[in-house]
Amino acid sequence: VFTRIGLLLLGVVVLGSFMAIVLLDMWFEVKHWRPLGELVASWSRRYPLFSAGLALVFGAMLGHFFWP
Amino acid sequence: MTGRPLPGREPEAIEIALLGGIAVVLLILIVWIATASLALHLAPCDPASPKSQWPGAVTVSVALLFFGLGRLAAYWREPGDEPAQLIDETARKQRVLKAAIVQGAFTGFLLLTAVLLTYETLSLSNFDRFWPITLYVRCANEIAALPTVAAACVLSFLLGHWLWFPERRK
Repeated sequence: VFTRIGLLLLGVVVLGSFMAIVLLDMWFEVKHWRPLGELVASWSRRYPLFSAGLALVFGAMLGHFFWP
Repeated sequence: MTGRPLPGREPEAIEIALLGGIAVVLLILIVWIATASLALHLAPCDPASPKSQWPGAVTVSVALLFFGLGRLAAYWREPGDEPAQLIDETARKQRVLKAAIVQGAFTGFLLLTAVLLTYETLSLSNFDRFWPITLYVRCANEIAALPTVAAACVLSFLLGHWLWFPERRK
């Protein structure tokens, strides 16, 4: 069953979490700290399987949502 | 760590403007989704026969293009000016605080992803009671293709920017 609260929650939670991370990255930039992406890149070089899995999930979701 | 730029370092106005612009676009999309969803009472589309305004391949290709643009934009980012050696107790505490923030944010993001995937799995097995996320996204893509594709492109850009960050030469 479609619920407007479901749609609202989905949009706000998903986009809101990305927005929170963008604001965090901006704060890092203002403080002249290493950019968030650089830290994530160090992590993915350390754990390549995890990062490959994350990219796989993202690609699968993108195709699943928009390319039925 | 002290907040002073390195000698000869360009002001980070471009980086801040880029991230600020993305934050504004995300805020506009959130407000749009909130107002549009609260105005709805019935499902505005039929999940049995989704009708996308654009071919799916085009949407996915554009989103992947933005994933690559996210990496290109990362070349603008200057490396941070944190010292390699710990200078004093204050610097050490700041470093610990920052590590805790980053780990907390990353863990939170992965937990949220796991929760959403769990909901998606459960709702697919209980289709009549709860719409899976897939249907919400496809429905949004049917009735408002431009904002939905814009959201997909922004999220792809950010993932390309963070997950495919270029390696720095020492």
